Amino acid sequence: MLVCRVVPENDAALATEIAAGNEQAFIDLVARHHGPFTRLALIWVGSPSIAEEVVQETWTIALEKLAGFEGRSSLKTWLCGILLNTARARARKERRTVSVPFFDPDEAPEPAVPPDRFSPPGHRWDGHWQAPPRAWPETPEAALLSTETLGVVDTCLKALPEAQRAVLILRDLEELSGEEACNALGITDTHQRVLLHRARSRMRALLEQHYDETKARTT
Amino acid sequence: MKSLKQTEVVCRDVVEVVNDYLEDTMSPEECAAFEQHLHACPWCMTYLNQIRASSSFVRRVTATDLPPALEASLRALFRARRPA
Repeated sequence: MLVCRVVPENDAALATEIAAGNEQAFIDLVARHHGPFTRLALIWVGSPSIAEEVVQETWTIALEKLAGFEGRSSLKTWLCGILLNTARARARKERRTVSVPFFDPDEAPEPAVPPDRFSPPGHRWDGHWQAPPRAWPETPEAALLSTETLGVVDTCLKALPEAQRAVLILRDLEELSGEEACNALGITDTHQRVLLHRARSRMRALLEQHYDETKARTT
Repeated sequence: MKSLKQTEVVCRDVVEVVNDYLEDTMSPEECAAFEQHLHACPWCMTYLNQIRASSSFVRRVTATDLPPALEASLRALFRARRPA
């Protein structure tokens, strides 16, 4: 007879379940974090196969320490901390020079949208859209995204600079708070906000380009 | 990062502070100015929705399946460590 145990959503309850021997709860937790963790590890170690090893080692360490998890942080924050420490250690071992935390305060500001999409100074509509964004055919509410769009999103994510990708994964995928992401990456709140702003702006711009090109092909 | 003043909010400024709005780090005055502009400007509303959509799409693409070999290996590891 197949026995299904309920997997709790609550972090502390989930940790208790796993520590008590609920194998499916553990596998569900692993599955939930596998994609973001592999992508995060890749930023530090640079090789997909080593990133997989880092993720596996992360779960081995997590299993060893889970009984001692006290819930002072959320479970996902705790797990992200283990993953990043493991990835950094592995990067050192592989003697890979990692540019993280990779923030240059002297870097020229990067506009979220090219300036020529707004009316220029002196124009009666100075600063207002002259090439406004067009509504996209797919929305977050759509049950399915086209395979092509999913491929484009994946390519866009990989094309982001490492620092922006790391912040985007922690904030938008792992849904860490700004403070938690700062602690995990060892960066200031200002840096984190700038990186997140740039990452989200770039993702939007790349998706806009995809939808514009698709529309041009089909009309 | 830019800050908004109620009298001079234009679309060029809005796109630079959208993230501050989503992060809820604006002052009440800035937030009021931002929302006032947004209600009057459907293009900036579209822009805001696209930033939100981008995050949502990223979440979809990274929901990858667990490789069977890794799952088998982690199940074996779990069973080896399961409390008696």
